[in-house]
Amino acid sequence: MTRHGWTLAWDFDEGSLFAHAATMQHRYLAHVDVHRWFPGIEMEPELAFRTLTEGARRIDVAEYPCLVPSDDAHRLILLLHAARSGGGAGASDVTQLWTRSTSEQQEAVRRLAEDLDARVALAAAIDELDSVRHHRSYRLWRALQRPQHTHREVLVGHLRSARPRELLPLVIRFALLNKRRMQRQSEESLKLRETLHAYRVWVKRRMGVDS
Amino acid sequence: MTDRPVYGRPEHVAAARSADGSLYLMALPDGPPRALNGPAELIWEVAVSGSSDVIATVAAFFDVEPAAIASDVKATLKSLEGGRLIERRQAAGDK
Repeated sequence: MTRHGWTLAWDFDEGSLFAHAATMQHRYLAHVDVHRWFPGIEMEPELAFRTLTEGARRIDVAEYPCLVPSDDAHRLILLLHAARSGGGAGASDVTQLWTRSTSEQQEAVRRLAEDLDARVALAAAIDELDSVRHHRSYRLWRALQRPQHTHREVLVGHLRSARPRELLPLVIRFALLNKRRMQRQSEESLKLRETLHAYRVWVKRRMGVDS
Repeated sequence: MTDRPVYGRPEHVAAARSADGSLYLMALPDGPPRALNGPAELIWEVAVSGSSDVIATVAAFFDVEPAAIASDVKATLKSLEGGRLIERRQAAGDK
């Protein structure tokens, strides 16, 4: 992408705690989120992408043939995205892609979610979370499902669902002020005083003081 | 080669219309994108249709003499070709 004029707008660790996507920007085109995995798919990313690619097909976008996931995979990915938007922006996706789907379409999405180990997030999207209470990621998706969730609730959910090797990077991402992101937003270097103030606000927010 | 080149649409060209009907073209993957106004859009459409005489076809559409628009059409074709939005093709009978 960089060879074709794309530059990094936000790196993987500058977004959500999932650290799943980097945002690329282009002089002429809209921003693109490049995913290294999709939150909600708990299978190893490489295997998950391979599974998604197996069902991919080409459709014309702007009269140009583009490789896209199958309809079932499209539905599932949008539903998984809706599951972490706390009933807000994703609600219409759920209505359109699940509630109005046929039972055959729903069954196909469930099967794919099973294949990709995405049952918990799908359950959160379609309001069936109680059916996966025993799963380690249940608490995370329950927190994300609630519109008014706090950072602390989300962190606890992440900690509960994380594999051992994911714990340390997760805690570091949660605890550290993302100074790089702040500098980009302010378009100049942060002074010590500004950094300390920002850190105070950051910690308060992270601890749920303002939630 | 004839002095009336024949053009076609390169495989790498994406095309999309905005809500107001404007045509946007872009040579992938780098662009830049270009919005075509009415006459330029018509010239592009005629060119990529493989017309053997783009100037005459466009002139007929606007009901004017070919000579009156020839230089403008040629300039537009040159610009479109430079932007990789059309490409020359071998006309039937050319070797």
